[in-house]
Amino acid sequence: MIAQKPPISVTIDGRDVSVPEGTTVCQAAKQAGIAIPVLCHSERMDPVGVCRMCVVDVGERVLAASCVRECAEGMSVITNSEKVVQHRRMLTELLLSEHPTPCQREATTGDCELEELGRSYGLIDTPSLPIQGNVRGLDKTSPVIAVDHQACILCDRCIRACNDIQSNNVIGRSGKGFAAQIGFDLNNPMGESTCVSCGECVASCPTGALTQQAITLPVLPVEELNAVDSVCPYCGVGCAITFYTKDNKIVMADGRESPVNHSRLCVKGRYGWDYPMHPQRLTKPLIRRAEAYPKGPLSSEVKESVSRRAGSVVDYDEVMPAFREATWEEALDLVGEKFREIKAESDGSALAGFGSAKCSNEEAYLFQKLIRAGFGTNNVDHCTRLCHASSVAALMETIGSGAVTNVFADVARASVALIAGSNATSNHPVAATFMKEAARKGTKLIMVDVRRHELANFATHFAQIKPGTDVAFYNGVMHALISESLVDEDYISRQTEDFENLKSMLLANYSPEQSAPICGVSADQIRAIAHTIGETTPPGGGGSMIIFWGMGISQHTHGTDNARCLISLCLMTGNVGKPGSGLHPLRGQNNVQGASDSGLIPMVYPDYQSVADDLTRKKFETAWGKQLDPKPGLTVVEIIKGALTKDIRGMYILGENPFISDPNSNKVRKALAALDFLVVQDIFLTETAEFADVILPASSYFEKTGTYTNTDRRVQVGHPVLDSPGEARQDWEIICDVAKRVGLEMPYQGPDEVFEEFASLTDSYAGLTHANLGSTGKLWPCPNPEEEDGVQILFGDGFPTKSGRGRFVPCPYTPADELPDEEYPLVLNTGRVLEHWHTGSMTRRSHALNSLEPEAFAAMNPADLTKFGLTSGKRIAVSSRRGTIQLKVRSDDSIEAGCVFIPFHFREAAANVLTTDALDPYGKIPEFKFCAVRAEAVREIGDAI
Amino acid sequence: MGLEADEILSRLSGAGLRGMGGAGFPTGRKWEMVRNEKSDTKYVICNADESEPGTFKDRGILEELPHLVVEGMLLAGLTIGAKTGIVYLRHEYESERLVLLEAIEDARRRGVLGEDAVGTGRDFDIEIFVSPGGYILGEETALLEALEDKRGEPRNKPPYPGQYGLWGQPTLINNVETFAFATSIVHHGVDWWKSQGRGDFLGLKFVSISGDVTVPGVYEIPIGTTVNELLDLAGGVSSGESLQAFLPGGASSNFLPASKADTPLDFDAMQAAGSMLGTGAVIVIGQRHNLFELATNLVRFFRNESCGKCVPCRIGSEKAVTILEDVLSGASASQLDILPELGETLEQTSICGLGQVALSPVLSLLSNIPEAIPKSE
Repeated sequence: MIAQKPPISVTIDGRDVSVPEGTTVCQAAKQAGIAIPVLCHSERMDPVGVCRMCVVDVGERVLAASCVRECAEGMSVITNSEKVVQHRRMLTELLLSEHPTPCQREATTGDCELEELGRSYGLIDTPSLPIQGNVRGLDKTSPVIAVDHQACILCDRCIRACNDIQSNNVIGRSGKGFAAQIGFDLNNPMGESTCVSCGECVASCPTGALTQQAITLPVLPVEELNAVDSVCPYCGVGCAITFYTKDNKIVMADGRESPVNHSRLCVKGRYGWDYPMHPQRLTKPLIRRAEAYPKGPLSSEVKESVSRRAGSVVDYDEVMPAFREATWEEALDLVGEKFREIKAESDGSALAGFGSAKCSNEEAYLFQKLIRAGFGTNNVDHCTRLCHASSVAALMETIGSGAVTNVFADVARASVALIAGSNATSNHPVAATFMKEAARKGTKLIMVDVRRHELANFATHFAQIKPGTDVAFYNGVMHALISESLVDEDYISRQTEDFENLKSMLLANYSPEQSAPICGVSADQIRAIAHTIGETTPPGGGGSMIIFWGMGISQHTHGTDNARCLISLCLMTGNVGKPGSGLHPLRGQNNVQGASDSGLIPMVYPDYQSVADDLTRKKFETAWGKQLDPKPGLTVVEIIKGALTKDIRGMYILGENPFISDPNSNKVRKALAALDFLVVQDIFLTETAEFADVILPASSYFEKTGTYTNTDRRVQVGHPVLDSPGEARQDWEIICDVAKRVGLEMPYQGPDEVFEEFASLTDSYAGLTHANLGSTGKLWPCPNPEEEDGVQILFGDGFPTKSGRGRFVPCPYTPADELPDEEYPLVLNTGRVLEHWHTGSMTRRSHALNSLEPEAFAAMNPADLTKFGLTSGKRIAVSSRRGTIQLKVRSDDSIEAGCVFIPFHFREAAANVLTTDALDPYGKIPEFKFCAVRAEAVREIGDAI
Repeated sequence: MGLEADEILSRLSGAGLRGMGGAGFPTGRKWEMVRNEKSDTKYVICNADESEPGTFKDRGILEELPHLVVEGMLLAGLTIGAKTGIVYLRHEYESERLVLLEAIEDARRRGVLGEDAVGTGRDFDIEIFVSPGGYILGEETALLEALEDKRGEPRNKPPYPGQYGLWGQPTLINNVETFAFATSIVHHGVDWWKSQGRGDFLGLKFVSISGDVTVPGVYEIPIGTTVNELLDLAGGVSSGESLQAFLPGGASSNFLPASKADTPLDFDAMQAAGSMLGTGAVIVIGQRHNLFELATNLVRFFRNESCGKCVPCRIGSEKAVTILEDVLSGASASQLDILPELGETLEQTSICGLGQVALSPVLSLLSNIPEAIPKSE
């Protein structure tokens, strides 16, 4: 135990104050109710003492900056003497003499801290020092952030925001003395720097030096705007945000304090909220015109996989003529009639639904209830199938629960963090800031990936494995741990089973020397990584390891094996159930955890209760008042295949865009066209909607109330910020109206009532209500939601498996489904970029995000560009056995030689034209991370022959 | 060796040796404070980034007496419990670097430095770090930042380097001359040092004299020698001019008029006269110079050398130069009225010594030689 140090007594302006050792004078004054003016200081940051505004008299030769001066026993402080005030006033005057008054911040949000201070000293219009003209200049190269170097007071808040809070290390001081200014990278213009536009600098800047450029309406003072506390609509991190609106438009957004993000945001959360206000929003139900049959794609990019247009979103002039506007009554009646008709002709199993991980728990619950109790089939799935289905399969099988065992922020307490197949800085940007911060404070990061992305710069070990060889790599690491007695024998014997099978397989076949040639990582490095894990988290406690993983693990035909290996690694070192430890598959969509929890999965009802289990089925039949199908339904890719074979005839797609998101688009195109009846419910006319018979205009995230469960299992309430445009309706109401027309009454009063019904049918959500979720939500399970935040760390005392033990599953290495050959010599890896979301339907309609990353590209290693005769920045054709796309190529040395990386967001060059729809046998997830392709130069007009 | 740390400290304190880098902090006390810090890792740093205008005494010491510096650092290392000594060397001092390096290698060959330094069974060695350059890097905490590969900007103090220095470890930083004299005092004893001074003054000082002087250079003088006596040693004011004014301790010390040239070169005496001994860099100014122009030039120097970290120094020094240059080019001298107030803010609120003294050239004229300042109409 650390001995409690006695408090320190100081006198501030005659008041006696007692504070703990290490308290600054500024903090002590605050405690005594004495306000000291500050400019450079922010309570979110370590103090730097550069503006000197907070100087106080501590009886020394010179004044002391109270933000950095620690209290000492017996210290006597005067904060407001004439002398002190005189110097603060002079400092303010010095700063104002260089400041363009009013600056951009004062002119827009009206909260320039320097000008406010100037007003308090009566200095704004009475300069007594020579005024410098504006010589430092503006930098408007970023589409979202305006930089006015003249308004900068060099308080270093942006530097600390960028480097200490977000760990991006872009902003620093450049130049010296009076010529000093903030600089981006090597003093590049902001828009040409490595800035990721998270806006943390703008949020922390006290003046007009860094301000947000207007996205919708001009930025205004917060008092003139309507503030709504909600949650970010993008990724599974689930950052808490306040949105500010005026005249039914969002004007700006800011992070708010929550255990999830501690006010941090990324570019999507802070600047990517304008898509719901895009002019292409659907405002009326649409019915396909008779002359638009037989059905098929409408826009040029959906008709052909090779597009020469650099375009971004669909051209409505190409697609709208195929549809006519209808009333809600007409559209819904048609939907009901067609679904009833197909059900009558072919039974419910000819129908299927794709729900959405972008929608709320309430909508997901209602949707699966409609499919199961209304359509009479379990053919309901969603994009979890495309992201973590294999991880969930492995987790359910080994530890009996598919969710994370610990929250991501607990990386702060981890001694080792293994980050496997996850480009967290792009895909979970705010979670990545916590990983980087932990690394700076001593957590050892082990990065295992085929791409050397940014987190590798913070890593103790970076292992660049060959694509698809994860199993060989982790088997090698586990072999080293076992053979060198670095595993936790006690934990293995108390908490696990089946270790011997794994052990004998590993010892026989996976020494580091045997694994190395398969995975491309040297035996020495495999051993070094095993040593770091074993020695930093020794048996019997002391250290801890948390494992994060992403799609690099899951999106393989052996994705379940990959995840099993990570689970085995975690179990054999005893790293589950204690602080700083655990298994954390980073969930992609804002509500992919919740949509799965709510039962948008063909094999299970809400809370992973098996449809094949008679007792469970009875429970739901009673609750829903309908007989239910005991047969597990088809998964996403199986449903698409079913459409091709006519086994699936009718589909209801809610907020998903499989034409862009599912593998092998040329096949998806045929499948969607083959459906007898397709209803698409969405906010834009997506590529998938081009194949629809009826399109229902839905509400965006920003227009409705609902709960969303983040990657940590935190259930949070999203609140409406905007009114829906035109006749667009709330999704939950549309689902209820469709249900009614297929004979299932859903008489709910609102989402809160839906949530209560859902929660009452689960153990995990039991006790939670919209009301008790509060402003920052609750982690499930949460036995006492009125008092507690919920359970952060699961399985400290056993697992929800039949035996109560965690299970080891040995996995031999098997290669990927489609290996490169002479004709297709490269490996294609698909994924996301920071600025875009999935099929781009939202982000390509966001001004900021689309400006930052406007077009499709392929990234390749510079050596491969030379090898295949390609030029960075030029168009290339990338072909697989399934199709060809054309797009620009970028030289990128983070890509391993022999690989191509293509983000899948871009409709004009959809990466999924190339991908294979081969599936993992357990998770039924397609192999988005591996297929064989070739890359060739495309001759362009003006090229030399 | 054979001397215990306590005895070394008692000799340094008994002799009253003060830091020769400008600030004059008692050396024995500094060593004792760092010695008392509890840490496995400590550092000894010799500040050889001699950059104060007019100062070149350390250069002379490094060239002629490098072994005194090496031995002084060794004594410090053994006293405070450090294994590593670093000489932070001005980057223009290339020939001195070679001499110093030879002295260090010689010491290693003789077993004075190394794993068993002078047979004590304790490890101490010295490396040379060549400064990337810049006046501010001579400020001891900016020096530490530069050593840590960061922007060379001073730290807020406290904590002082003795508590939280290089890489956060207790660090003893002394000037070249201080280490050289420490060696001499430990070797010859307290009485010897005391007997070296003139009259009531104690000890020796290396001074560099420059400007309008016949034989500029480094002189080792007894403390208490007056400026006039030093001037005589150096052949008097050059070109037969008479003395107008002088700076006794480099650009950071205040101007004094010729009438104060009988002041002894001593810490307290110079302070009483309205200036400071500083680095012992006497700059001699003959009658032909415009003192206001010289003062403006020195303020410009500080403006140019400001790192820009804190507001008062970064902007205040620039404002002062703007005003001074305006007045020099004929604008109304009433603009100068704000300088005392501005100077006080710089002195009171700047992070480091540079900002604190940035206006002192012109403010010291105002108080010590007011006739040199243009009058407002």
